[in-house]
Amino acid sequence: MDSSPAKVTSARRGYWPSMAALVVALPAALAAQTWGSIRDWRAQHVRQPVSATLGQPIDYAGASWTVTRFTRLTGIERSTVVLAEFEARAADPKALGAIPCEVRLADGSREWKPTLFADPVLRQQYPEAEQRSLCGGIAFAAMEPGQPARMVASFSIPAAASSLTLSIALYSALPNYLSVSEPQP
Amino acid sequence: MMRVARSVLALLFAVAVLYGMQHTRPLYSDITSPIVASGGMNRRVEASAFALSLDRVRVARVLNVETFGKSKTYTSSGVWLVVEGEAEAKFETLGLTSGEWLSGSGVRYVLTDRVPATIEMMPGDVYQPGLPRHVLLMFEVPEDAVAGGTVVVARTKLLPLDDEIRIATNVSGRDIEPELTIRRNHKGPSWTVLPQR
Repeated sequence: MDSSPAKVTSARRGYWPSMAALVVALPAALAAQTWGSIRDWRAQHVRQPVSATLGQPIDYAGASWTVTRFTRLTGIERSTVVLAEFEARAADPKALGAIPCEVRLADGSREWKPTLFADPVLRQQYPEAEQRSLCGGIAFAAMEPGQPARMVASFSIPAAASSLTLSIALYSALPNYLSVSEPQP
Repeated sequence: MMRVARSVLALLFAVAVLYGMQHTRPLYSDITSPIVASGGMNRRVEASAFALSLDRVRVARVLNVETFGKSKTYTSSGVWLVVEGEAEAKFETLGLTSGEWLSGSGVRYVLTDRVPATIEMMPGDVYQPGLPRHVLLMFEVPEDAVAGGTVVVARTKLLPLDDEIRIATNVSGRDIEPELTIRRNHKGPSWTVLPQR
C-alpha cells in the first residue's frame, strides 16, 4: 500500500470534485432511468382541453367535429340518462377510424364512461340510438372524405349531478381533447 | 494492527447487515399486494375507488336458476353460497371482476363459472359513480369451508397495489338450506332469491 504524502494529497484534492460530480450524476442517472415512466404518466394523465360549443364545428385531430346534441333523458329513480350526439367530417375517415377514441362525461370530481345501448330508458326514449355508432372505427368505416360520421354516447348518472362536461379524446391528438359543457336551461 | 482489526470488524458488520437485509426482505408479491379495507356484514366498507356492503349470505345444497322462462338445477358435492349486497364506484366507472370466498383455513375459492351470465352477477356488471347497484355473488365450496368465511372483492387480480375489500361473514355452516332458487326479474331488482327470508 503506497501512502506517500504526494498520493494522499492527490486523493484529497480529488475528493470534493468527486462529491460534486456525484450530486450531478445521481439525479441524472435517476432521471434517465425513470424518463420513460414519466413520459407514460404524462401521456395518461396530463390533458389539455380544447373548448367547443354545442352546435359549433371545431377542428380537432384532423377532422371538423360538431356536438349536435347534449341532453338529459328522463331516468329511473335517482338516475338519469345523458345523451350526446356528435359528428366528424374528416378528409381521411379511414385513418381517423384507426385511432382509438375515448368519450367521457365528468362533473368535476366524478367521471362516467358511456353505457352500451342496453339501457331501457335509452331504448324507449331514443330508439334510433341503436342505428348510431360509438366513437371510433365503425363510425368512420363506410364514410367518404368530407361526409359526416354520426356518433352517439349515452351515460347513466345520478340525477343530482350538475356542471357536466363531455370530453372526446382521440389518442393521436393527446394531450388535447374536445371539451363541451352541458347547456344551461 | 488496530487498523487491520478495525477493517475486519467493519467487514463483519457489513456482512451481518447484508445477511439481515436478505432474510427480512419482503417478497415481490408482498410489496405489490392489494391495499385492503376490511369490515363486517351490513356495513358499508370503503376502499379508495369503490364501496361495498353485504346484506345476506345464504347456503344451500342445490341451486335452481330461473331465467327467460327456463329453469336449470345445479347440484354440487359441496354447497352453494349466495351472497347479496350493494356496490358503488366512487370516482369513475369501473367493473368488479374479482370475487373470492376466503375460508377460515385460508383457502380461496373464486366465483362459480357454472351459472350462466344471464343472471347479473358481479363480474359482468358496470358500476357508475353515485349509483349504488345490487350485487350477487355465487360460490361453490366444500361444506367445511363455509364457517368463518370472508368475501374478498377487487376490481381485478392483475393490478398491483389496487383496492381490495374484505368482508367477514357471519355464516356458521350449520344453517344449510336444502335448495335456493334465483329468479331473474323483468322489473325492479334484477333477481330474487327464493324462498325469501
